[in-house]
Amino acid sequence: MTDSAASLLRLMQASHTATLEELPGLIADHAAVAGMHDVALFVVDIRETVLRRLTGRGLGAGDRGQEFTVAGSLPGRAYRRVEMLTEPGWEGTRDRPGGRRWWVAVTDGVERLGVLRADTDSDDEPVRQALRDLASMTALLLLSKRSFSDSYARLVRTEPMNVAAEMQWNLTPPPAYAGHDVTVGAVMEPAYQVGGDAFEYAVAGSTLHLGVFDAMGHDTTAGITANVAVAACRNARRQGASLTETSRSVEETLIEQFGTSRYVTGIMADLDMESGRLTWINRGQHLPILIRGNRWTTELACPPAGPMGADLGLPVTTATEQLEPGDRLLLYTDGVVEARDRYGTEFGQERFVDFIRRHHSGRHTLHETLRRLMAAIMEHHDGKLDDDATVLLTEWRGGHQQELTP
Amino acid sequence: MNTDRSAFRDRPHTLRVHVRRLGTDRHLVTVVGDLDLHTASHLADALQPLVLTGGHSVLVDLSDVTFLDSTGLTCLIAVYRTARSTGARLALIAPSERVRRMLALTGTDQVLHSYATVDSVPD
Repeated sequence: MTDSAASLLRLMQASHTATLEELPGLIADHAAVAGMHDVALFVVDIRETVLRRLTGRGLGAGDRGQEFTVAGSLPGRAYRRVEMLTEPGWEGTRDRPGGRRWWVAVTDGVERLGVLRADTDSDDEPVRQALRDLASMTALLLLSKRSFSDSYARLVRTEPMNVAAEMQWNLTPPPAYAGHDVTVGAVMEPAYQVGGDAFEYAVAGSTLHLGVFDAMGHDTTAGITANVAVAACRNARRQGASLTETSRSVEETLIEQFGTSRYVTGIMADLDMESGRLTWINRGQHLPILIRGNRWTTELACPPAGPMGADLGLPVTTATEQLEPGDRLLLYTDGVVEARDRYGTEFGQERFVDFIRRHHSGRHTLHETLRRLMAAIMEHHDGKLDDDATVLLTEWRGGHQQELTP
Repeated sequence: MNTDRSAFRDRPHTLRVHVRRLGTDRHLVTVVGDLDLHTASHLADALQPLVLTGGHSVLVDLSDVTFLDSTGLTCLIAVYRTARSTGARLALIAPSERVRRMLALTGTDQVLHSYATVDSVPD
């Protein structure tokens, strides 16, 4: 076993009882044994605009830490491209002249968590492999501590959060998934002031469950409503309910909880990841958009059965669609296309679809495309979005897993 | 055009609701402005008492509603449900394109029927 591999195993074991605050020191110590020096860890904020150093100091674990922008810095570029970059003109430190300074994207293979900085004496394939391994292990360690770390939650926020957003970020799955011929990415804005939007995906066998939800209204109760809806959806689904039964179960639960005052619109879908067969139902949300290749775009059709909780008594229709390898499916809520800027202009569906097609055409990964889309939508609204905007983008590659670029 | 457009965000969210009695059991409610988060409760206050009596017809003119968001739609659905339970009738008159789109998107148009004019609403 190489020094590098052995040090990773020791790092993994040492991490079991470590807190998030202890990770930077622990990782740096173990990396140094394998020839990677001055290792520093930077994590990305929830809006993916800045990379903040995880120093382990203070309640936000980032006291006296450096910060880089995602859009305009070298570490940001490593993050955006999910690459390993060397710092140009690096001359080393006084203790260690020469060598290389590296910036490596920290990802679990799908979700981008931040970047890692490390100095090495040389630049050859074993060094690069050791850096990749270290970044990969770092991602897993961060993920294993994130769920119970308040410091992490503080470090990745750049603004105060409302109560609904606090609930929604705990409700939704991680914003990125890849596996079984499928890549999924999700974004939700306004990240710090969410009202009633939520997205959902989950895997069971070869089925990928997908959903977007919009609890009507923009208050904390809308956030509570969305939580009840998603929980009811999961609960029914996990007991084997079909899409139609699940949406009826959500409807009943909402009526039970809120009487006649709270409704949730949504799209729920099941994708068979082996065959590419998509089944879905429409509870009054924007129709899913299918992008085939880079030429053909269509809205999938299915009559709306009314918002869940509104009890309009409309029949629930299950629609089906056969996907082709490479197809991309967009589920989204109205804030993406309908929210108006200060001139009263909507971002619009055409601009939305065009943006995805232009940016996600080999130039950028699916997740980077979504990051750029939300930045563009926020810019359109001068940084202040009046309505919730959620996008859940799914790419089905059917039998081309090795070509997936998360 | 620009002076007009730049005023959008700064202008107050206003909604004017005018109730007119057309007959003993028939009211016309004319709504003008944005029906959204800021104004929906105003419309609900005006409509709910009118649909409490079975057999009454309430016609809601939405031709000058320029914007309808989910809170505005929630208000319309809540009023529809009250009407359904009391046996009152709720009909929409000439909803604007924006409103029609939202009603169709959610499926609400299947229960909340729209008519071109007051006269075309059947008795």
